[in-house]
Amino acid sequence: MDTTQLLKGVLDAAVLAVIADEDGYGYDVVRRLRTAGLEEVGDASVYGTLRRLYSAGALTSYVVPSDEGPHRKYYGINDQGRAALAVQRKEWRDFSTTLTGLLDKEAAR
Amino acid sequence: MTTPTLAPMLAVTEYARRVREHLADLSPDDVTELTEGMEADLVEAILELPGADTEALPTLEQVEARFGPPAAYAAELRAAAGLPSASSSDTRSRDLRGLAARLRARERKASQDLRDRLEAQPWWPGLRELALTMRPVWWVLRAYVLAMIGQGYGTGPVPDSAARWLWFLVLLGLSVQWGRGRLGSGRFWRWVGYGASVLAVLVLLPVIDLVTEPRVVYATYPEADHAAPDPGVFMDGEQVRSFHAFDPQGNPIEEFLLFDDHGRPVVTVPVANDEFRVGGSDELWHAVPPLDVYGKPVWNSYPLQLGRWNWLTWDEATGRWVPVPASKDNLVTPTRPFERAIPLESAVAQGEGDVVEDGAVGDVPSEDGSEDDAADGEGEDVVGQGADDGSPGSPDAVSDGELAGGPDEAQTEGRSDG
Repeated sequence: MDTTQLLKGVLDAAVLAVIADEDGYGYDVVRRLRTAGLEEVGDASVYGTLRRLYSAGALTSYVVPSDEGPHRKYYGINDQGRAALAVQRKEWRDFSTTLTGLLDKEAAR
Repeated sequence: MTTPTLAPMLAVTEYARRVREHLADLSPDDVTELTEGMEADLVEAILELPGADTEALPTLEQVEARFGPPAAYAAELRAAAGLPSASSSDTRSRDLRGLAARLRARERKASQDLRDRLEAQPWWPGLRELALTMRPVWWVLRAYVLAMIGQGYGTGPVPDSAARWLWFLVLLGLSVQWGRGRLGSGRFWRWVGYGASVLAVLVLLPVIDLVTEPRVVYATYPEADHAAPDPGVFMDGEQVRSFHAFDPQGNPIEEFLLFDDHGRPVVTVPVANDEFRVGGSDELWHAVPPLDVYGKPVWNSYPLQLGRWNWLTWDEATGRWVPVPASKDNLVTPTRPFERAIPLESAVAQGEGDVVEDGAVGDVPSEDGSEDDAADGEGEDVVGQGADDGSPGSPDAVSDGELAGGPDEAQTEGRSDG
């Protein structure tokens, strides 16, 4: 199965969860998603998602100066983001429960 | 990730530039938001690749192997960010925004075509590499050109003031930092950077013209040369106070008016109030000019008459000092340096019979000479003697002619008040 297609629907939730855990900059978020097992996640997809969530008001951002390179743009979660994450968490549980039940029933047959 | 790794890598910079090109139809704000810090992220990701060489710079191929073609990367960014894809902005929309987007897309395509054609040339990679290598030169030149704006012509190629040097160094710092991508990637800095670059290109030729202009050094002259000449009459640098005239026979002319060849009165006392000391005495003297028939003081009448300050009062009406009481006794005329001048040959020849009896100029009885020497030294009766001595050709007067080497017109020891 092409997990990149699956990811598209849940990338918002995944990114929000990572940021809720700890503030991070673009590639940092990519790395944490991959470390968590989402090997297929595309860099550009994560950056685009961060940008979209920020535009939607779910994230805050701030710039951290760096001595050895360009400044880093960090993202953090805010109340609106946490609320969105809570909703998506519930939706995912419902959806995965449903799909798990569906798939397991098919498999058990 | 604090290895010396975040320094800009050419391939990464180039890759990011291409990605941005594929986003060119978006608003600059959107592009900035999407790609801010992109280079740093790319570098970091590349260095995490298994077997990544932290020493060698990655090639563009390596970057593309990791992130995919720039076009695909840009499309993924767009999609994830919920922004319209490049193709959808080609749809015919009638509003200006759509038109602008189409124009940008066309321009982007044109520059992409140009790039493709260039990259097909065998000389392109070398030229491009050379240009990239030479970029720091442009950074310096850019700052220099901008700093030289406003420097005057003929001042040479070096900043002409400490302030301009400082300005150049500030611009140099900004230019280099911007060139290295360290000056923030916000919209503001982007426009400042591009604006400054465009301005530098525009003024490049005028500034080159300016700095190659031969440097003009203005000679400075001593202040005195610019000042107005000192008023009055000077001889060999010394001020002339009075004149003594003699006729062709060598006899003194008692009173005369002096004009120059332009008809200007020759005035030795340019300021009526001028005071001067005579004969080494501490007393102050003023010139007292006679009046003409209209009652105006005549300053070019000579020999100059002098009055001692405490016998004089300032006459506002005529603008001169007048003696008080108004008596000629309170005035002196500076002693003649000598009573007679050497007569002219023509004058002597013409009036031989009645001018000089013996006809021998300078043939002076010694007793007469010594008497006159005494008179010059004492001065008591010189003026009176001069006034009386109207007889031309008298031997003792001729003897004075021998003293003509040392005129001393300020010699006023002898007053006529005695």
